[in-house]
Amino acid sequence: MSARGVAEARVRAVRRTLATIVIARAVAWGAAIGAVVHGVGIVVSVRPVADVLAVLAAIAVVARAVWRDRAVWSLAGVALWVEEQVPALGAALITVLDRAYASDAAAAALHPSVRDVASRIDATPHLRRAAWTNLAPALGAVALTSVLASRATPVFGVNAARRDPVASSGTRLIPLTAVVTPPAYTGQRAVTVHDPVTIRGIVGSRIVLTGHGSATGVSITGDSGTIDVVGRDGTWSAEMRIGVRPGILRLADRQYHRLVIVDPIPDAPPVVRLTSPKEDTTARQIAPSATLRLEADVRDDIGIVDAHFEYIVSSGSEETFTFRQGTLGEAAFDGARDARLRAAVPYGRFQLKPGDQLSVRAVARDGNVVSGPGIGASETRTIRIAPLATSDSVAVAAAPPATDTTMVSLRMLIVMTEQLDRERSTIPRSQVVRRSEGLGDQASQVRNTVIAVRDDQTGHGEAAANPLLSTAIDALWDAAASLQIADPHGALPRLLAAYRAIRAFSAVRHYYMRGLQHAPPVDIARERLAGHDSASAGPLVPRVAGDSTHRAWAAAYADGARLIATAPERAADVFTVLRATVRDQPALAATLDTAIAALRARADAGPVLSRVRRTIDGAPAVADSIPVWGRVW
Amino acid sequence: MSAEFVFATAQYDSGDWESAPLLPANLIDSLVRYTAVAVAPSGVVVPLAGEALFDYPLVWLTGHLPVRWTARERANVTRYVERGGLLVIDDHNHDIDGVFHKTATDEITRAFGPLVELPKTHDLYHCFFDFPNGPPGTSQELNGWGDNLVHKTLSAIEREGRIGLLYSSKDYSSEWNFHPETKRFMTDDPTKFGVNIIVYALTR
Amino acid sequence: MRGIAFAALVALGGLLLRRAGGGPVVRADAREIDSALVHWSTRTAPAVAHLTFADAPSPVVRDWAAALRGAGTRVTWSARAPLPAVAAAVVPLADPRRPATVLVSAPAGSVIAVRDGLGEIDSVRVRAVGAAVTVPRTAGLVQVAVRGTAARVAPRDSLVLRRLLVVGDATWEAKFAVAALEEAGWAVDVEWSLAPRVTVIQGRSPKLPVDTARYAAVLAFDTVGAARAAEISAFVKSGGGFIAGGDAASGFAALLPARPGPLVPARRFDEDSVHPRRALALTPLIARSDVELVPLDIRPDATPGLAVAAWCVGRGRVVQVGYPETWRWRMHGADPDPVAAHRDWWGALVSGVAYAPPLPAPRAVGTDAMPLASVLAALGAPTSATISPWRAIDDPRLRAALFAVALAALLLEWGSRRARGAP
Repeated sequence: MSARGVAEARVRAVRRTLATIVIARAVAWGAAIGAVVHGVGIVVSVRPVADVLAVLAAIAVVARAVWRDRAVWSLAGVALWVEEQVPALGAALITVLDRAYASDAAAAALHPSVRDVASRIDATPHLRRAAWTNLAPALGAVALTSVLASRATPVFGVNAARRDPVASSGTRLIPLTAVVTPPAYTGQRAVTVHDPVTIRGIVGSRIVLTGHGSATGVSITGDSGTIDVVGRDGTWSAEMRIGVRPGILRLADRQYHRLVIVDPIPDAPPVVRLTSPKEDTTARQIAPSATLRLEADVRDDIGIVDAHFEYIVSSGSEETFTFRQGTLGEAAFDGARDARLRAAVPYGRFQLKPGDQLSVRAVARDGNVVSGPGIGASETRTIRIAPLATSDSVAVAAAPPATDTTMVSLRMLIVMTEQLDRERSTIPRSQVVRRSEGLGDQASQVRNTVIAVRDDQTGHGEAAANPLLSTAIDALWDAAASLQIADPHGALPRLLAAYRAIRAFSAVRHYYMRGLQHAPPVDIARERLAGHDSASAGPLVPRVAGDSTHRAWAAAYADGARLIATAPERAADVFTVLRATVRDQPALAATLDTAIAALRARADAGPVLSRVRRTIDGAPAVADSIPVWGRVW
Repeated sequence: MSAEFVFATAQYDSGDWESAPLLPANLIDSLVRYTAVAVAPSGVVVPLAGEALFDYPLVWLTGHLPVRWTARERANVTRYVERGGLLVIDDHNHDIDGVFHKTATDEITRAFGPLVELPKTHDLYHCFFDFPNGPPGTSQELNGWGDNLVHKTLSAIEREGRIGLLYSSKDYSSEWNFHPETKRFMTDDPTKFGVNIIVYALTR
Repeated sequence: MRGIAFAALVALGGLLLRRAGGGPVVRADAREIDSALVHWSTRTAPAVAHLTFADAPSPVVRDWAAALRGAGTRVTWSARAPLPAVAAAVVPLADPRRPATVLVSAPAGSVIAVRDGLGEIDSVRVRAVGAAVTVPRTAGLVQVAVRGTAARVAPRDSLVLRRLLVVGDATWEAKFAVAALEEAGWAVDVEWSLAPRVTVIQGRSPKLPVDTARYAAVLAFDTVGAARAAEISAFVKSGGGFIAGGDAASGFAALLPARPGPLVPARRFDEDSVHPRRALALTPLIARSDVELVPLDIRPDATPGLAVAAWCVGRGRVVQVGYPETWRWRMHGADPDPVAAHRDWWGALVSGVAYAPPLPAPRAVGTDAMPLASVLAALGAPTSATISPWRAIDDPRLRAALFAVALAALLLEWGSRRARGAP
């Protein structure tokens, strides 16, 4: 091989090594710069953006470094580098590689050393030194920046406080944990709330607040006074009960303050609905062997303990009455949330006579041992036995609410039937048939409802049915039949007849068998100022201006609004206190919640607070012109 | 348009609401005899569950039998009192152990909270005729029926310092349930306190 | 690059030297005005200064520019867009709850936004020449803005509220009207006749005269109080207010602007909870031919449909109400809070007639009721901002631009050398 060939091979080898060093160094510095940017992003809490910038910076540094040392990619550049490291070569290497010289001889004519130049190319120690001087600092920078970045933590920005609240922020009020334990009778588990703004729990629940740090210097006050704070094992804690009314807990730790709303959930009494009998009844007579079927649905938010039916039998007339009371159908429900109470009693048990009145209702108790027990009662049903000396022609039963809904359904059915009747000549026959059959099904359902009313009225046949209901039932049967054969025109008169009958039944006045009021009109002209006793009217006492609650809310809103620009956190505290007082105004409470959250997040709460103000003060009256009479009407 | 006062009697589902049929005429007569207030010559009956209740800011309710309001009646009564009406409930049994008293007070407590006794200095006893000892007694209270007690006070539910519901165990419904003409033969008109109730409703 | 940098530096030097010698013409636009005013007042003394406003300037800027003018600089101004002519005033209303009406004059079609110290209040598009917003409560300065031009106002007066007097018979209408007014905070004297020698009194002795020293307005709901019609008429003519409701029309006909028409019967309230008064019985008002009344409430569902009318008598004001039984609204109403609505309605009627002498309030700081007018008064009419090339040289931005060019050229030149590997 020629001297050139040998030299070229040697230089290529050096080039490979140098290129590797250049790339390694560029990547190392790029990584170091990227680590620096990444670490800065953690410190100032702008992680996602900083990570992107870190990658971009690393790429830029790598590109810059590779570009700067681009000479390493050319043989001539590497040769020059070797010449610099080995001055003894005296430019022989660059000469032998120069393509301008076609042969060794030509090159040797220029430089006598070219023939043995290859033997003098010993770049190994220089390469080692180049690797060390270039890579060592770069790798060291990578190592150092990586370690620093891994240990970086937020110092500025919103995440700073989360880092180590006690160490970094100095307050023992963050983090705060609340464990809410409902009363034992509810059978519910304790709930843990971290960093609560509002603590909700059933009245009587126990709250245990805990925080990090010693108890010394931590104070908590509620609406009923100061609450003891105890310390143990590096944490402080305080215990309190949820009362009947909402309240505010004010926590203080030196210059730090925090508010927590306590929002009680009342244990509602059971909801009881008497499903049988459905309506009041008045009957001529009821056989003692006939059965009074009693049924009630009971529902409670926590648990039902027991339930029973109560009855009162009132006997007598005019001014003389006697009463008998008792209970029936007692049942225990062991804390179930839903239950059905049933009893079937022969009427003979009540020994009803003409003129008597039997009142029944269902009563249920829940297990509230804190403020109860809660007692819920159903509506009362009254069964009357008509006195002997009354006329048959007098309608005797009040319209049950079920007939109101029946009338609504029947009205809609009539409207739809009328519409179908109008359209039947313009739409396909199949559509008429389909729609008419659907209306027929509805007519049958209405009829079933009326039958149920009749059965309830008569105690399932124990007493005679009202003729109006019988008329309606028969008319609905005929109407349904007409609709089933796609004859809406024929069904309409029957539907209207049913409607009139039910309406007449609903409009029946509730006549008591003991007689109507019978008072003569007063002869005013004759009696005017005929009295002899003298009077002297006492002075009136003015009413107190109303709406004191709204005025208090308005004042609280104004206090908070004034703080928004300069101290939004304090404004949020003021609105938090206001929020605790507006529990009965769910819309206002919800709007305040949104406003408080916006203020604490340093977002724009203006539009939300504007709604709060309108709710409290009332909406302004606006006119797009100047009013004539002083104000906008 | 007439601005006259119309006496209204409440009709409710569970009891004998009409058990004092002459009371309205008697009180109307007394109001005419002692005042110049424009008044309708006859009273009206208004269902407790109906919208017409709100046409009469003073309504009288009485009976002997259990008082068990339907949900609609209860809602109406609550709204009626909160808006400024005055409902007078009088126990026709004058019996605080009786079913009317127990059930009526139960319904009232359920709707409004507990009744509060009125002191004898209350405006009601001095707004027209003067009753320095509080509510005047009735001849019914010690007639051997009922609880045979003299009930010294009336109770009420007040709103903004005004009576919204007045409860009586004194059985004014029996005491005033007579033909107005009978007053001519009485030395002392027992219905004067009824005038106070009406004047209170009209002016407070 | 080096040449460019050198040229830029020479030009910059020339500008600086030139500035030290003569009195330049300067201009400032919108955002720079604040800093420019500071600079012109403390560092330089321009002969001519032109301000270009984006919106009407604040009183501080306006007054500062006027002061600059007083110091010898010829100050001219123009606006990027014509400044809207906005003017506002806050008028307190005679009502114990202290509402106020914000009256605004603004060009037709403009949208005004009203806010005060407690935040946003409302906005409205002006139909003709102005708008009004009656606000339940204001705090601090009220700001009325059209685009970026804002007028800032505060009530110039507070009102001294007197008592109300209700005369007549004991009726439901009178009772519930008094209840509403007392709940609204009014002090109400009552004189109700129950019997020839029995009168229910509240707050007054019958011997007291009815005059504006004690009373803001008198209300009557029947003809019983007509025995005092002459006294009430004198009261009204001296400035007091009078409201005739219920069945009072026939007893006070001389004071009232209309006579009652045929009765329109009441309807069910639950038919219309948005317009509850349409369910009330109505004796529509038929205007007297010699009277110029102000209609306050017209029932579109009745013909004639005038329900409430007002007019002035002497120095006083009178309102006639054609609803004989507004109390049914309170008892029956299907709207969300008919008690409050009935109360607010009666309060508004009374505030429209009540005699309430003003008490001057301390002038608030920072008010600017007519921003455009104030600018015109302080700085004169706007001038068109035509700038000669010579003036453009005085633009402070030119110096900054030249410096930036020089710096960029130097940096590029250095970068180029480095890129080429030159020293």
